[in-house]
Amino acid sequence: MTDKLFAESEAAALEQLHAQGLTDGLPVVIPTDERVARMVLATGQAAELTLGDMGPAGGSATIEKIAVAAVMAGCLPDHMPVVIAAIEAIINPAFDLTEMQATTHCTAPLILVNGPARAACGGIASGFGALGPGFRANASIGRAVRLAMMNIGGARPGVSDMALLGHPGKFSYCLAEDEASSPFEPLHVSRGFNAKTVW
Amino acid sequence: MRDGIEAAKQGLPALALVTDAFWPQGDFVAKSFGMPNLPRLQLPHPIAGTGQARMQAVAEDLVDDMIKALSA
Repeated sequence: MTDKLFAESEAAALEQLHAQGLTDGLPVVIPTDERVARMVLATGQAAELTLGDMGPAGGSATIEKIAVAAVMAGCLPDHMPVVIAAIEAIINPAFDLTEMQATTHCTAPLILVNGPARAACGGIASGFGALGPGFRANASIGRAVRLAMMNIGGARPGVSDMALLGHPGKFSYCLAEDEASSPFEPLHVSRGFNAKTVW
Repeated sequence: MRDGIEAAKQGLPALALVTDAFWPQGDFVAKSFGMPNLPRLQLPHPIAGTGQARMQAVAEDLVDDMIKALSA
């Protein structure tokens, strides 16, 4: 069960979240019980199901905690499959999340979305300015993963995240593959999957 | 810190050498990995890239404390 905080108003709650270092410095959507429950429902999974531990703090990445991060980031329920997939990817031991979070290098995981999820999960942009402002799915999905890395994984600048100057991609770093316009074979094919693979 | 933690978990004498700039991170990692009391010594920051002479001087300053900590 996720620890809960209490406040008299959403404005007070926002200040409390900022004060406790639980935001990325920008305003967040307050993760009320109702909003989190709606986000959990979108995953089709039990709230207490854990995908694994996130380093360096070793926090358990439960569906509920990921949903909290997604609400705070401004996600829509439609975005959740991509958020969950990205979390699963970064907690894979081969990714070495603990070291990546703690390093002095200024790194951020790039979430590159390929296949039907591009349209089905909120319309993830792939064209002009896709890594910049203006695209809700890109901004929110990447931000949700970052907030999970901070609040479940425990990455705190200067304490457990020693990136020297950080990186703008640490706010959000998500875009889709523009398969229709690309002269290259789709990403999943280049990674060895069948062209018709759907998951 | 991680190396020290892994050595200690295997029952080996362990002492982590941590520069002052990384001291808070050392605390965080030690707690996260369940060894908050892992012995450690504080070094001046930076160490990397400061040249052999300085590293030699730092080592000479700390060697007695290192031996003492590992003998405890």
